[in-house]
Amino acid sequence: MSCETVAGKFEHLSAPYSDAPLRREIIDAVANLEAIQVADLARLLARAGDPKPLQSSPKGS
Amino acid sequence: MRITHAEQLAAFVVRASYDHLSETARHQLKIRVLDSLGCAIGALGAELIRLIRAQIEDFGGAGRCTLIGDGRTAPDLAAFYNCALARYLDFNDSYLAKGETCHPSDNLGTAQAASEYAKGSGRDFLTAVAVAYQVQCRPSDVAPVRDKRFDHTTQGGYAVAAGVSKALGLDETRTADALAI
Repeated sequence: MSCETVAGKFEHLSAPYSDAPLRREIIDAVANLEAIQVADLARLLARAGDPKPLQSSPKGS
Repeated sequence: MRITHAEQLAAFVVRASYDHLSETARHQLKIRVLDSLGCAIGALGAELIRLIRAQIEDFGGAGRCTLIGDGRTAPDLAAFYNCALARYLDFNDSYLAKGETCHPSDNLGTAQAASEYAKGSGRDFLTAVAVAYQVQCRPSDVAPVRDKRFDHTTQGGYAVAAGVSKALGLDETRTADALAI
């Protein structure tokens, strides 16, 4: 996948559980992983939430 | 002296470093990290995830590692929860080997928890993820087990041990022990 494709997928999947500034911060953190600590990324991920229940129950392999 | 497969693999894991990763590999790793995190955040509302969360709240232990979507718990439970999130939608990456298909991003949650526990850097995390991807995908190429009616999580077990060992900075002996388990 290209950067643009994966960024679009990330936006689509995470939008129900995060606001646009947080999504931007996560994208930037991943792009600059060499410059941060894992704990910094974890703190951003902890801010996602306020989920709505999913209706379907996917079956994996 | 005879060297076991676990010891050979451990030697690879311990020697691997961020500097061995090409620019392309680093870029592609970040693409997969972001992809997996999108899948994880997108699963926050799932009922199964809520059930795992409830279990962690009952048995969570020391809060050394962060949960996606808030909260802290013991490293193994954080790994379990964050891996379940990344996997739940079944929308994460796939590696299509000739005789095997696997999902190497299944390793991200464990690598993240171990890296955070070890107070690791982003470079450490990327290196641990790279090691786990290699240990998952290369055996899928050369030693597929699907036709023997085993699941791709067979290679995944080695990959998780390899990635976590790398994130924790274990030496060859301890890494071999983890792989052997």
